[in-house]
Amino acid sequence: MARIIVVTSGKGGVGKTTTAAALAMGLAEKGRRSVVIDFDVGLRNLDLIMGCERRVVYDFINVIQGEARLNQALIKDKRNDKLFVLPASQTRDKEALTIEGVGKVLEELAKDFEYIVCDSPAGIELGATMAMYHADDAFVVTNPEVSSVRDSDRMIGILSSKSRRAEQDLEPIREYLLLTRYSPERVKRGEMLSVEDVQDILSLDLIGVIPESQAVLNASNSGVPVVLDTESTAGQAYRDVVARYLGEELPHRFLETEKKGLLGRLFGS
Amino acid sequence: MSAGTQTSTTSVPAADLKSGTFTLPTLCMSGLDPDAIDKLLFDRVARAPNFFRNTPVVIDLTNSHDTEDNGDLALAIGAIRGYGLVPVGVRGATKRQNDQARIMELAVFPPSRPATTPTLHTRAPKPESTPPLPELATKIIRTPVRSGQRIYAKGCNLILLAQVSSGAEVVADGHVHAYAPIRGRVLAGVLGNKSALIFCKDLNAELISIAGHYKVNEDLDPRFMGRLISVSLDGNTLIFKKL
Repeated sequence: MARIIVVTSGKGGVGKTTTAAALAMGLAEKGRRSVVIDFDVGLRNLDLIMGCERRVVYDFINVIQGEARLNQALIKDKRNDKLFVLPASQTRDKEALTIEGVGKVLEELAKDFEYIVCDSPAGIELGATMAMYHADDAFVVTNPEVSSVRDSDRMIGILSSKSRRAEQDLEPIREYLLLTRYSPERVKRGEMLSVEDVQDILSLDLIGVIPESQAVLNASNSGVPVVLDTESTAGQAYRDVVARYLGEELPHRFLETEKKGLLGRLFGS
Repeated sequence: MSAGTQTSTTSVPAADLKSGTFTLPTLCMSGLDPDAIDKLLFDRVARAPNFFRNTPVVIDLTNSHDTEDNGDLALAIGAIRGYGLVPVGVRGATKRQNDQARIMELAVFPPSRPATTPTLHTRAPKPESTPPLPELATKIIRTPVRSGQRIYAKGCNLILLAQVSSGAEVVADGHVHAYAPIRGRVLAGVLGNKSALIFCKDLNAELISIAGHYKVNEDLDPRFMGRLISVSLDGNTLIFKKL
């Protein structure tokens, strides 16, 4: 049975799409058939980050409305044949999403895939609630600053009250805290909340900490999920996250300030 | 007969222990004439046969001393049993009736105090609603209350075993007990109960209020922040105390 993962946050710009892309690619790299769906109808970005923006013919909304078959809309990743992308529509509005329509597509995908990653739009409106409604697991992406933490808290509340699992009184969604754009230096200077602060406020299992890294922006711009950049700290951290999600026990890395040697200065970022 | 007595002996201690709160239906007899009993019970039993089946009752004889006669109590008990009721004892009887009751292996209850003898013929409808008496039920919250969520303990107290996040609101008509950090808004006695109290293990609330009198976080005395405290209302002032 496929697991449906939602990558969500409430606040925008915290790294949801980056995380969704990295997660789906990471799972595919581990040999799991994965598909990543963009729920950000009207503001689609996932296709850019996955580097498949020039191959979009049909989209998620076309499939929901029966204008295209699922396998016409799915885009196979060029780097990994276990990974597929289902892009959002840029021209429709999100009212086209319905619980039944989305549920039907997910059901069909579940026959063929092990992991279905849903990239949620920002906010707590329709698009976001649609993305999380059918989820089994949730990655709550949070930046170490108060407004992001509060929005995540709000999102966790919604996950536990308005999802399918909550409504049908099933086992609740498994929620994981993913801290992104973490900068140990700034934490040390007191300019940023520490991992402990965030965990204290959200009291949630920490699945990983992604350090602030230039590699993320580079990866987005070049359409390569950052998890493939094994040189970068962010890429390694995402690899750890995927491994932890699949059950491996790994210590958290990149939480401390490091004295960089010359090589570190040149290559680490 | 013996089955009936069995019930009586086993339920006597139970009735004794809970005599104040656990009400047995009481049949207040104004006479011991079996025909009169038929008249009284026939209608009632017909209306709620399930309720009367095997229901233990106490026979109150306070008002039937005049008609006492050796045979009458036994006949009356027999008539009552005939309707499926299980007489477990008598009270308010004369010495002679008491002796008779003992012979029939019925318990003899002490005469009722005025307050506990409403002049109803039976207290039949009450027992079902009385035993699970929710003397101000309590709402218990075990999972974190997240930003944007609102918990309302309507007509009761609230116990919080998990944190209340900033931007969340917990509200109770009664008291609030918080055994985890409070970072949201906490309101007790919202219907105006000025004696409502708030207990907080780790106070960091955005707003704290009792019966509409409130303080916002900025006005809280730093000495009480993050501590185990109680809050009460004295006149129009919230009183904070370290515990």
